[in-house]
Amino acid sequence: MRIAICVKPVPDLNTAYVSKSRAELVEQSKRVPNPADENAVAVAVSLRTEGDELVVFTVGADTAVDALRRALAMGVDRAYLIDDPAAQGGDALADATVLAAALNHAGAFDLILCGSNSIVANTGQVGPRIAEALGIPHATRVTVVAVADGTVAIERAGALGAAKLALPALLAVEPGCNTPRLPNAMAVMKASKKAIERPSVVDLGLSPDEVGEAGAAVRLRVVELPET
Amino acid sequence: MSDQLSAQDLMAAFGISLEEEAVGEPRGVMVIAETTSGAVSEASLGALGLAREIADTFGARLEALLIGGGEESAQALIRRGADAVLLAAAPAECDAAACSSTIASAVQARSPEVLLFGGSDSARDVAPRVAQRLGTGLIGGARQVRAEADERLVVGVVPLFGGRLLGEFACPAKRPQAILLADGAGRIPSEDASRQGEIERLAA
Repeated sequence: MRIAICVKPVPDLNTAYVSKSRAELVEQSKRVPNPADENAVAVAVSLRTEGDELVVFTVGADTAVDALRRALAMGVDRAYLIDDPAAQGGDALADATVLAAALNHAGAFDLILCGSNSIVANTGQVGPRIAEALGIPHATRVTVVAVADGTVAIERAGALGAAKLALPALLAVEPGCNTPRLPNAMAVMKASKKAIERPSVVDLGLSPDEVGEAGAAVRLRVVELPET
Repeated sequence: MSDQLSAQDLMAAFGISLEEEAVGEPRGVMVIAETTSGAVSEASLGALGLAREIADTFGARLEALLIGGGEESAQALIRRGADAVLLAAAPAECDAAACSSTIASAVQARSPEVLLFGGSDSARDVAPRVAQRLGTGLIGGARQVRAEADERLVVGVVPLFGGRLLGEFACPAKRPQAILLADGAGRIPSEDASRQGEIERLAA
């Protein structure tokens, strides 16, 4: 089975703080994988059987490498980082366009995993949008995954309940649905030698105006401090 | 020169500008209404109240697309502010894929400029699918919304980094501008028994 995982690098909220004078988040350490995406990596690693291949995908700048290395150290085989400047600054629509094209570029996958929500804006859109773009069945807020005979049986959080999907499928996993194990020093060292491919937007068959800031439909206008 | 005058020529001759009502320009507000135990859900009613405010700011018509409800629920939506209700048969087993197709088709047929979803588990499952099928933006998890009349824009306020900051988002270029409310967001409008509106049953 080939399993893809989409990971968003996010600020480490354990160390970041909010500057009240500038109404912005000040980061003090390396970017980390979005927590729910790390849960998705852990699901992929737990599903792995002999001969499977796990590939991680990220849209981001060079600062995303640390998050990718962490996924590689957890047991993912190789990584794609789309760090083309044209792909930066996108919204969920633009990022899903890039990720869907990157997934196609890397060959057919049986299962695509990602987190249900990111800690940035918590909108939960990228997974469903990728699946719609690829035309495959999908589900969000997944807590339990079992693969058998070309189907995947899942359980979901909230009011959504259990379901069974035909593969290939995309599953967006609920934050905290498992406890990812910290990779040991040997795994971290091995991960530093694993390949990270960096295709350009054009390599993926996309035009620069449909991705990144140019391709974004939703724009962030203002960031404010919440009223206390 | 042709002696046939186009509608545009005629309107220009009478000094009517097409700028405000260009042909094919998306117009109107659509709110998605779901039912729980036979009545319109509170999340949908909250969205209806905000949708009414947006429609009033834009001077636009407000249609509610009711998924799986009956005549009684449709009348309740009208009493609380909808100008018209589109009745769509509920897809079996609350299937998100089928539900998304129903919504996307209705949006394509009516081309509203705003599409609003209340904050519920099922809406969160459906809204991104619909937005992707329509190739448009979705402001997800909005705690508050505000309509700006001059640009006919809806601004959504979304918590960032677990609420440490708030971001104001808008969808300036793509239509419809879709907004999914956060759980508990919205304003449930009061009933006005004198309100009248059309109810249209959509073909399955």
